[in-house]
Amino acid sequence: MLKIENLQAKVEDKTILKGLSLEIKPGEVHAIMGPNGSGKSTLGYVLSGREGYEVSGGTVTLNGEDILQLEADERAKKGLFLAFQYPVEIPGVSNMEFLKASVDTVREYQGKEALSTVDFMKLAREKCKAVNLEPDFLKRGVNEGFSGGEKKRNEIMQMMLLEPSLCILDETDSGLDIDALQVVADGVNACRDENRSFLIVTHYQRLLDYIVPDKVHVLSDGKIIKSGGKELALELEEKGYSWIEKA
Amino acid sequence: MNTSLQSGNHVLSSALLNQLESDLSSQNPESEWLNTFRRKNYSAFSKQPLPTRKTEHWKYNDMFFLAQSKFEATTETDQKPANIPEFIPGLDEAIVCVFINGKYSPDHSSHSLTQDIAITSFGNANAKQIKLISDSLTAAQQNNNLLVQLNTALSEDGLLIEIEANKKIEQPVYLLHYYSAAITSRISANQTVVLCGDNSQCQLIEHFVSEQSNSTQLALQQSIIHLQQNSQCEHYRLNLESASSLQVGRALLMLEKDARLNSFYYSEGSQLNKTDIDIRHQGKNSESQLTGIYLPSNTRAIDYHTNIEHRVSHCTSREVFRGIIADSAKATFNGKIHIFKDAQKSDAQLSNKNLLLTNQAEINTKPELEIYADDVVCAHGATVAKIDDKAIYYLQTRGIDKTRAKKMLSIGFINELLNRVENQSLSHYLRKQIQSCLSDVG
Repeated sequence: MLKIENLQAKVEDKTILKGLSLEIKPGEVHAIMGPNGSGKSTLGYVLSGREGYEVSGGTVTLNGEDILQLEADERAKKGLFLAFQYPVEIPGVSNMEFLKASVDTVREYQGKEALSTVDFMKLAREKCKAVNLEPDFLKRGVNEGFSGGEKKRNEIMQMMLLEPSLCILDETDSGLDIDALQVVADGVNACRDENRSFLIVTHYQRLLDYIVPDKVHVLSDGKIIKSGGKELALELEEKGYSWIEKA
Repeated sequence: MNTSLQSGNHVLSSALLNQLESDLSSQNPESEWLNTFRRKNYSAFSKQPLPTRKTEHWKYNDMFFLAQSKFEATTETDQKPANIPEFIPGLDEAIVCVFINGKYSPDHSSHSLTQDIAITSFGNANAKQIKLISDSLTAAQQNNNLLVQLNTALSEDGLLIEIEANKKIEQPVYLLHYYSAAITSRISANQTVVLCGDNSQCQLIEHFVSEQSNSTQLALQQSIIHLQQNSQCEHYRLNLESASSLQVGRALLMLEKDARLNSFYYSEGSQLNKTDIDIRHQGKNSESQLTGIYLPSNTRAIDYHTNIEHRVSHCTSREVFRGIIADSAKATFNGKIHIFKDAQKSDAQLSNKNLLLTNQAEINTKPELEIYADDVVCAHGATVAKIDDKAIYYLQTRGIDKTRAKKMLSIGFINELLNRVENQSLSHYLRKQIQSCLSDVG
């Protein structure tokens, strides 16, 4: 599914990723944990194609195809999805209009059948319900005035609608209370299947109680310094990151 | 009389000047009342020097064309454009008044008039109507825009629209100003007076369109709209001229006690597209809402000068103008709120926001407050920004390409204002127009 080899990236001449390698197979859920400033969010931005994040070495392939030369929207069309840590507020553009434009574009690219407005509305309402958002959210501006929890649930709803093959969740648990965390996790778990992979970036082990990963990686200073099974997350929770970084 | 004419600044061709001179010196008792206004305005115009950029009102617009051109009058042959297309689908039921090059054209107009609305040209006005028009023109004279003065001087006729008191006019009143192309530099003038009777309700759509022209076409226009006690008026002024057009217009809206005005402006600019908007709250408890959207692109220019006067107490005004400036286009917004000494408990808000799509796009914005009362609530503000890169990126990660993202964000910037357009046919028309206007952004 996703194969990252020796990835190096910089922002404004500051090197953040310093040779990161990672492979996620179809259906797998990988968690990336690490201290502040280790490059977790940068990884999400680089993979999704944000401008200003310059790749200075290494390769990234999605389903065997090199994606580093592609624009962000082309990567999205090919099935890459990034759930933002801080989703952007866009006043004046309704959630519905935005979601319809997004889903139409991605479906068309992937050769899927176009959804009629009625079918789309029905689907969108259904997904709203799945993440516990009132259907009225569809009429409001994209993320406009949404609470932190609502924004995160909106991200998960978009993920459900777009049916991506690779989902990157950037600190989706930050700022969520236990109930909201449960809703988000349920949403993610409902999307899990053998053809869809997840890369979950998080600070805390807590989310991984709800979304159980196949593998856990520790990112430090732009490199993966330790990988293990789900029990690694518990160990990190207990001991912090310093014991690995020193090792 | 003759001396003031001859000492005037010579932006008019000698033929037009002679015609004007003969008009103004005519002693026809029937048109003497109008001639009085024309003379007064011509005299005021003649005394003013041609505007340069040192004059605050004209600071951001090059008026070179005034010095370079000798404007001809609009001739009868100019009055006959081939076909006037249907511009706004869905307005079939409207009461239509068409003006061609400033002159009212009954042949193109269609209205099954009811008792509730009267449409009369100045020349046919009865004594009572002459009094109404005179009062409006007198009120309109408090303006030192020399082109507004020239408009009045050149207007040998005009149209008076009266909405009967206590009536609600269901159909919109659609005023289409059509300007045809001509070979010589040409000037046209128009005056329209609308009187909304006590407790009446109406919808007024002013729509300006012009053909592309190789010569300088200067279109002058003034609308004076008087809202009597407790009347309601939904007013639209849409400037959709071709790039070559020079349009200088003025809307004067006067509100009596308890009157409600909802006034909407839209412009895509032209070589120069300037509109002065004067709102006068002269009766207590009157309310105005002004909304404006301007979208100049290429090298087009737009200038809105708005002046909201709270002359009496307990009035409310809300003004929001937003602009998206593309390419090397230029926009000027000058919005003033003027609270008179006795206008206590005034509540006024003014906001102007701008989006610049390129580094060459230019906006000059100046919100102003002039307050002489002490118990008022006033707020004003202006912003200038570029499209948010983070928002573009966010949309891109959802599969929407950059060009489309920019377009969506641009429309999003003005969407809230577009939602205020209550007439559905018009709303549909404007959204389509804006989609095509913004199709080249990015």
